[in-house]
Amino acid sequence: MQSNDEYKRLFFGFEVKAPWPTDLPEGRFLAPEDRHLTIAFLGKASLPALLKSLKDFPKPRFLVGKAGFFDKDLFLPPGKPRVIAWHVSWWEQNNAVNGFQKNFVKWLQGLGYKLDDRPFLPHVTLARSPFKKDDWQKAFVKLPICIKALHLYESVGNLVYKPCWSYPLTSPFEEFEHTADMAFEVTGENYNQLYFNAFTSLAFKYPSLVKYFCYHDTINDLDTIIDLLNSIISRADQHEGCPIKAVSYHGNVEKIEQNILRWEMIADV
Amino acid sequence: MYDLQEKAPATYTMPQQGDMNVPGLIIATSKLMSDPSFNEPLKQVHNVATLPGIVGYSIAMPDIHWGYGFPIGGVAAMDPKDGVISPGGVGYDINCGVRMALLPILFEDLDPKKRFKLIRKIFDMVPAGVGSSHKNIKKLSDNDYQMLCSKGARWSIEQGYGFEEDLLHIENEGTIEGSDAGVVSSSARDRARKQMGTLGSGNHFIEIGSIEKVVDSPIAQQWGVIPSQAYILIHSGSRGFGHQICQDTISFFNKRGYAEGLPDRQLVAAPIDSDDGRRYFSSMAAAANFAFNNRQQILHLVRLAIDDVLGIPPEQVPLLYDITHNIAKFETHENRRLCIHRKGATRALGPGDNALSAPFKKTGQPVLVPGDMGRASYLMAGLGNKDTWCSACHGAGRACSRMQALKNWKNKDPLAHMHKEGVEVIAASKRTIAEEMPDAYKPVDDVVDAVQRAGLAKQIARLRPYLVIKG
Repeated sequence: MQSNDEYKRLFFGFEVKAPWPTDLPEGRFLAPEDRHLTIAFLGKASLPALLKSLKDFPKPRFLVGKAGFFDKDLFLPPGKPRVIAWHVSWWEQNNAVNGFQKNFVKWLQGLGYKLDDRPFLPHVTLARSPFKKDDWQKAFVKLPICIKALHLYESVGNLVYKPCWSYPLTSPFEEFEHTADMAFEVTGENYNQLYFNAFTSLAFKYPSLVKYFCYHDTINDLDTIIDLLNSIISRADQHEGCPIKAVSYHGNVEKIEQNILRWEMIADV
Repeated sequence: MYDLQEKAPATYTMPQQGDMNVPGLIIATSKLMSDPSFNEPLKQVHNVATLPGIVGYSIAMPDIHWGYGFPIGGVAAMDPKDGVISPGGVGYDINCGVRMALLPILFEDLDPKKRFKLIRKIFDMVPAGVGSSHKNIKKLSDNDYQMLCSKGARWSIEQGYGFEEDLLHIENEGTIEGSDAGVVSSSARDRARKQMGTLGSGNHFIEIGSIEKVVDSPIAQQWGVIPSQAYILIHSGSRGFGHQICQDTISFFNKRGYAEGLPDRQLVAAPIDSDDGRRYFSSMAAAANFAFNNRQQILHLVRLAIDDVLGIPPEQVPLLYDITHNIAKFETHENRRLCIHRKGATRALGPGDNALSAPFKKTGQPVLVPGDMGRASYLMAGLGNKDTWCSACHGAGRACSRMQALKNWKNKDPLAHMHKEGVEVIAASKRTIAEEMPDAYKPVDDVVDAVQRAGLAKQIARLRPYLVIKG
């Protein structure tokens, strides 16, 4: 017999990072650390039963967290919106997150969970009503975003969410100390991803760069990545100024565990 | 890690080993060397010593810190026949440099009400910060580029920005010979068309303060420097123009295979005596001349602001000196022509050097050492130290990363702190203020002490900032 204590409000989602604006309009905010990208909403479910099933969950095909940008604002549900969310568009076309979400939902349905069949809408909720739609529409800016670990979250109330199970992903980038300039450890499963993730790390520092992103998916070497990033920086600097002046040629790409590529990127500021 | 051996006061050698073509020479005191962060850039001193054609030593100044390729605070002389020229040995901000001008008034005599008005006026007149540009002026045309790149600071003076006399007070009299705007990419020209006479962001600044202490009265007197006098320091460079030239060249040199076998691709370098090497020198000189013009025009705007707020006309605000600290230049040392790379280091010619202009022939060259915006900067005089190809430090050097500085000042009010310390700061970005707070820099006194003890330059005056504009 199962006790009621086992039943929680549960959902699966990716932990997200973004350079969140600090001057957003009024609303009931989710704290930055509670913002997430939901992939499957379960509602009330038995936590122990789910944890047991998760031993065999269909893992994502990607090892490194994906990156993209917020391309538009969403007011959900459309008729009488109660939620302000920002829609996520991935840098990679045919992004694996969408594929993973589909498989994962199918797997959960196979376990007997009743899940929404609507098409996946990758988004991050920022706040709930009451809010002024006009103010939020004006406040929207395109920002970079990346996902980190996959979590099973418990909704504990007051817009607070507690991870109760996690599946880690390699971080797409991490800033590290550099005395004079700006430095990041960038990872990717191939050179295209290394480019997307390096770009995202720079855009976290200067979100306006998102406007200048240039899609490329046939990259095979580090020099091409550096040239592409520098070309973006040049255009941004010419049009509106950019605090990042150039990406240096310091460092090489190395393979770390599970064939993940790693690059120590230093940018001149 | 490296077995440094004391050669002379505040002077250590790094023995030549492995693939090094010359030994290293480290200018530092034991106090500076006890900082754990001092070791990291020594690897870069080693790497520079492996470059072909390097002569003498791979040299580190006491404000050395970790760069990419060359350390910041590095000096390397190359033989023009066998040696190489490295854009990474100059840096992205080609001819980033400092100029100092003097006011004919004691700082304490500046009406306190007018002090903030003055700094505000300068801030309004000199565009500062990310993307700072002159929105209402004509863009630089290709013909303008041609002229300013060949004439150097003289071009601005011909346009009415300053006085003929200013040229004698600029390193190389404001022109690096051999420039050619024709070899510069259109993207470099486009990037900077509206940036002439702008400060930029990062650690660039305009500062007004007081000559806190005169250490060497005879030289100070010859330079027109007196205790408590108000001074102006301007720190800026070649803006997007220099950055793009450096970027274009490093990319091109890498594609040409010049980085093969180097320990760091940012060290990539072409033979000086090659078409590629000459082409880089010509474009670098063009950017250097852009920077001389940039600082000339910024000073012009500062002079106009002073005239407007204090009623002191521009001709009564003489330029003391303008030095570059990111450059590669041909210089003659002991009858030998060499290409000297100074990245985060300055020239420091001693008395009697033929390369000095008349006002400084007897005294040696003024060396400007900005510290940080809260404590002090220094005015020094070069001593013509032969081991360092007559070089000196360029500043205090960062003590911590920008990331750490932001953490240090998170949830605090750096502007209020500076105000409490007696320094009024205006900046285009609050983030920059936190990144540039005094505790992000080494104490400049320690750096200057090492430079003096090693015999590179001597102290003339200590400067105390009171009014600061940050980019």
